[in-house]
Amino acid sequence: MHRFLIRRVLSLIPVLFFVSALSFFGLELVPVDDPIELVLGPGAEVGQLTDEQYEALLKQAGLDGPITERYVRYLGRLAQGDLGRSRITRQPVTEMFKDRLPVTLWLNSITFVTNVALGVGLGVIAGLYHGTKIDLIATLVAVIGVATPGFWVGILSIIVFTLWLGWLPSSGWVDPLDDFGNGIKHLILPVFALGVFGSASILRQTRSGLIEVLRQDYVTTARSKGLRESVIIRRHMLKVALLPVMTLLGFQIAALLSGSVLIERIFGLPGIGRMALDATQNRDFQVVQAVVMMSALAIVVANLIADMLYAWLDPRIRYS
Amino acid sequence: MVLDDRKPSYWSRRVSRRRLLGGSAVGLTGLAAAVLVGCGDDEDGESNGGGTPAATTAATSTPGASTSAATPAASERGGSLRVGLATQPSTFDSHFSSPGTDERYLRLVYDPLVFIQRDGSADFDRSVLESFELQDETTLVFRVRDGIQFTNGEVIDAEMVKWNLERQLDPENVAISTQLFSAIDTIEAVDDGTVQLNLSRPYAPILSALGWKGGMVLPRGVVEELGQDDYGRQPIGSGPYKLTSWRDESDLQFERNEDYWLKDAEGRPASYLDDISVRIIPDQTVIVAALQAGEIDYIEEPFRVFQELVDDPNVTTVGNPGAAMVTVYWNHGIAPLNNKLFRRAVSHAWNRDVFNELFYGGLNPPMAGPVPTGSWAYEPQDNFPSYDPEMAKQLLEQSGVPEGERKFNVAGAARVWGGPDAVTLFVDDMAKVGIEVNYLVDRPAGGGPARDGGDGMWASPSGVSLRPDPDVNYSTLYRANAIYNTGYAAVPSLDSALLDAAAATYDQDERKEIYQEVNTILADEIYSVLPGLDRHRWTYVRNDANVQGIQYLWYAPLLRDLWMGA
Repeated sequence: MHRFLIRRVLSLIPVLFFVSALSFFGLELVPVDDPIELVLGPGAEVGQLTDEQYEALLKQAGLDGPITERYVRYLGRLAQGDLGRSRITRQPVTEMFKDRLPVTLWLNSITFVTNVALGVGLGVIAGLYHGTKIDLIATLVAVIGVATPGFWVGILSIIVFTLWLGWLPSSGWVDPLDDFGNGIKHLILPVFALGVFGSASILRQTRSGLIEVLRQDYVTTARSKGLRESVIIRRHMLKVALLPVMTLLGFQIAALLSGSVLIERIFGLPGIGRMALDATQNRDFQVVQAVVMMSALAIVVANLIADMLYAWLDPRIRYS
Repeated sequence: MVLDDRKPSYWSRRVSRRRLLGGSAVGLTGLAAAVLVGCGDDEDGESNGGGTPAATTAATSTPGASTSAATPAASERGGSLRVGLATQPSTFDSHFSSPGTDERYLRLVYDPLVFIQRDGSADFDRSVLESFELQDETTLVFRVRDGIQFTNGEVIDAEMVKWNLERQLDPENVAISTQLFSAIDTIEAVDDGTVQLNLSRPYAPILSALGWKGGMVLPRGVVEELGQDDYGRQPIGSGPYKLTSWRDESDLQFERNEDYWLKDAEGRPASYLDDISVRIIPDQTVIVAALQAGEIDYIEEPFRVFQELVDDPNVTTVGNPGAAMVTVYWNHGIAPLNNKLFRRAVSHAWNRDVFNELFYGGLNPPMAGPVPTGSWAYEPQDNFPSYDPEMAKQLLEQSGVPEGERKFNVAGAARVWGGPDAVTLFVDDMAKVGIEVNYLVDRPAGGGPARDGGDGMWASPSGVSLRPDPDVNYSTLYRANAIYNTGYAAVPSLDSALLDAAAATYDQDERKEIYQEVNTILADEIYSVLPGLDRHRWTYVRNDANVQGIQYLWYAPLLRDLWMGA
């Protein structure tokens, strides 16, 4: 196991190197009329620059020199943990991450936990009662959930729960550490919008996994031994049925990260996703590159954890 | 984040720490807002609730005229205003602030050296500089108002003003007003209260330049201590409000500056609200819902009309006409756009009325001149080619452009236009007279010049905002080297000496005469931009908040002058 872990951690290096190259050179392909736009932004009210000012600005922003030289400089900074400075806010990108990470963590962790609880819970019920009306309703909800885009759910939920019913705030961020009740109140709609797809997917996967093991011989054997149904479900069925769900959970991390881009914007949450979207729209490439790198890291680590959970759930799996 | 302190780290603080954010203060203080009432102006600032939006209109008065001020009653002072805006400021270092949307924030915290009113006149009663004397055409002497302090106690004197201006003239810095200040040769602090600007050439727009972002006064001590980037997040000003908290992309809190130097007739500080909280809500559907649900009192939307709010009886809609124009930037240096008759044909082919009806609810009327209608230099031009498709066809024939070559590219996402569908409408209009427009929605708008090998060949749907001085609009659009003259195309019929002459005379009437001559030429030639619609800026306020004093400077509303009626 230890060797597996070390191998996986070491494998992060080429992956991150590849991602850094992809994000750097990919952004170089974005068409701009004039590289100065990347410094001042499109349509900046600067008037006419002198040639000296023009060159100075490009140099200051690290946009001078050939592309390979710039990439090497970028890697050098990255190795030192320097993600650069935002063109828009003029803040170090690492500081921006520190400020925004809590928002995304709150949103994504609550969504993740809710997704798992709802998805697994409803999936178990649907699986155990498969073929019944309960199963039909759960399946229908799951299909609708998978087919409904989160941003649409978000807008609709604001209209219903804020505008019509007046129950929940439309948007904004209140840190739950400052005001727990109000903070959670502000997170309900974003979590709902972000979580619809995820919980529906988990529900579907859990349901089909459970239906599959229901017919297995070892379950019949367990029943014939006189074990209680709850014990059979918990010890014998779920552990196996949840194996494919584990794989799904790895993907869920990526889905949550990408989903929060739009959800954070709609609900005015100042998180990483919003930062990524704003940076992309404003061509704030230092921030975009940093977000791509950090997202890649998060996804790789999440998949590593999912692999380890596999081993815990299924003793047949050995990493050597 | 309390800006006077070190910003606490989220990661190192204790979990039990509780902080109430956005609390409202109590008490009633403040002074009246100046509304745009000038000599012979037609400005009323009137607003109405639901149904028909009200509009503020540009005043026309003589230079140097002062405004009269509408004053809130004592019982109307104080209160907490909740504002929703789509964007946060890029920085509070006004000298380096690029986006036009920053201005509303900056004017809460800072005072300009010269307060320029909507009609282009200077109001020295509201300015850091209390008087101005033109010793000769290149020597301007200003008297700095005595006793103005920043909220940290630093004093604004002649040396402070000199440092602020020289900071922007430093070749190492590329400040927003560097070009506008380019006529400044040297700056002298004659004594503590007197500043002398020595210009290299006569330059009338200098007063307006001192009234814009570059004319806002920053405290030298704090700026030098923090550096440009950090100062931009922790500003100290002398204006009516203080920034007390800024959570990135979430909200900003401003509290009244109790020691604000500008006083009303009764000697009370001219900052009327206890506090202003600004929530950043980028999504248009959400910001409308937040206003209708009563979560916020006041929103602005520069790009489109929210018809649901115009129709909402609980909401008042206030428009700012003449703040900008919806345009097509084009490179008039390449074929077939280098053909004047072809350009005029395009203008005749564009059905601006339908565009206005479909995308702006009929509230942004067609343009008939080359600069935004809010400019004092604007006059509708009889020779401007308005919608007439038959005339367009005739001109196309007369232009000599062969049928197969009657085409050009348009690029850009066209947010200002209300989205790509509006461009498609333009494309359809052109097709009706036989002009093929190839719309490249994914390509950047490319309003800028062809620099360093850029092609600069695109037309793009865009907009032009009203500037403090018309010279800025004319010089950035219609000179051969203008930043918005795509491709740096020559402007043969427009003698740049005319624009130079208009900028060199300090007599506004004389300047206006010159600009009329320029306008006639531009309406005939349609260089650089094809004027489309007179784009209003819209503000929506909840009636129960009873927000008063809504007014605009150029394209930016003045949050600093708002109060809440009893």
